[in-house]
Amino acid sequence: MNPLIILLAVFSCLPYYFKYERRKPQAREHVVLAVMVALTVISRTIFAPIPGFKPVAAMTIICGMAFGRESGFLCGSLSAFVSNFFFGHGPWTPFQMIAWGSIGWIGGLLNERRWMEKSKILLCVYGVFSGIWFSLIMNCWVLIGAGEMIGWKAYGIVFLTSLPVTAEYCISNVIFLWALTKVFMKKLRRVKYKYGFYKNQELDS
Amino acid sequence: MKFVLSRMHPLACLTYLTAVLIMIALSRHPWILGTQLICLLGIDLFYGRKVRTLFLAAGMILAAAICNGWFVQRGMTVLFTAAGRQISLEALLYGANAGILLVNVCLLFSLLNRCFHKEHWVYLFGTVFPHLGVVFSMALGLIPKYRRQAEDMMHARKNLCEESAIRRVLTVTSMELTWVFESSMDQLDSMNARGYGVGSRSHFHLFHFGRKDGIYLTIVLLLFGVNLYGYWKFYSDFYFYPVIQWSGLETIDMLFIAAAGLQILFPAFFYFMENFDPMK
Repeated sequence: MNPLIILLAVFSCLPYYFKYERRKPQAREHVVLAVMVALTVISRTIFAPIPGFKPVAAMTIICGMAFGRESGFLCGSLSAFVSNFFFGHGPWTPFQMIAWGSIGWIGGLLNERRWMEKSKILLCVYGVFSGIWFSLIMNCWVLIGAGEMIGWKAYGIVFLTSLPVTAEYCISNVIFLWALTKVFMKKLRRVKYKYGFYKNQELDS
Repeated sequence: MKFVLSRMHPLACLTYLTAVLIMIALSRHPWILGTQLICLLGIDLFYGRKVRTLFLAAGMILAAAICNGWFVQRGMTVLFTAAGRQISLEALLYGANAGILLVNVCLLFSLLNRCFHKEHWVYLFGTVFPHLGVVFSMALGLIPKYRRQAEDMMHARKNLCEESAIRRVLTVTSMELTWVFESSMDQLDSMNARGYGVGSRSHFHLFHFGRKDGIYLTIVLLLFGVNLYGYWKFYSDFYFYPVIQWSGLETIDMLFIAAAGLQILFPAFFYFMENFDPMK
């Protein structure tokens, strides 16, 4: 596996950033995004002593659910970037950005019709899925040192060795989503109302 | 060198780091990889002064060598057979080579952590993405503020009533969340009051692209070009399997090895030029 995939991972985040820039977002969107990023980073630092057991994915999913998939992606990728100022940047940073960004994006997509809010089972299933997805992406950077045995074999071996951590990700995601979603969504809905983020049809429901 | 890099203009600094990363990523030839490893380890030991890094690096290289030796059966020179697997010298060396690559990448990122700080990122990010740059710098500023507030609330709650720690944490989380968004509303108002979004925005920074940065950037690009040429012409292929073909070390090789080392180490020359003035 070539380390150039690190650069590839960096560049794959950029189109979404340019899209956000071109949209000319308003100041209130900046503020909400910055607040969500700051909260996510703090949540990661609080749980720093327990490796792997982090509420970051859950926070990103909640951000995506509340403010849409674009905010979910930006919240996930920026929190990975910002939080690594405290944890140390490394070849893993771009992969974390992509992984958490995509988790937030899919979270936003699934909740466009409020499926995730209505069904706790879907929420937990997505928590498990996002744990596995995160692990699958994060395994890529380890493969830089895999040498000759590139390909599915090496990837399979790395995935097998990472299974305990993957299970930890899944469990932590489910626990945090279960505990936080209701409280957060209630408060964020109020925030959205105060900031005037609601579309008219959303207000009716 | 850390100081030279962190005082440089972020553009020049990031170009240096990216050029080195690309060269590390491309390199397959043991000579070039070895040179890069020695230079990066030297820098790390000079600033970190931790011998632990050496053991860590050796451990990573060894692990990669053993893994590759165990799984890949293509080498001709069989050293020994263990549990039905033939461990060959070539596979072990190939694994070690790949391990060196991984160690190089990790060492480069540790250099990045040392010399490329938040303000560098805020400057670069804010120049390329003005809107996201605001979000980024705002988030960095908000984190300590929120932490302090959460600590205050925790103390207040502790003295206010008797309750279990879990319950206290949950209550404070809920309170913090409400407070965070309420205070962000104030922030939004103050941003609007100061005219955010009206006209173009300039951001505060201390970076100035001077003559020295120009020289620095030119050297970075020049050395990158030389190394890229060397890679394309001489070092793009090195065959480990089935038998290592090791041609002798010629003058031209020495030149390119020197160029690979210089690409990583040249900020150190700037550092010594600044600090050791023979006239003093």
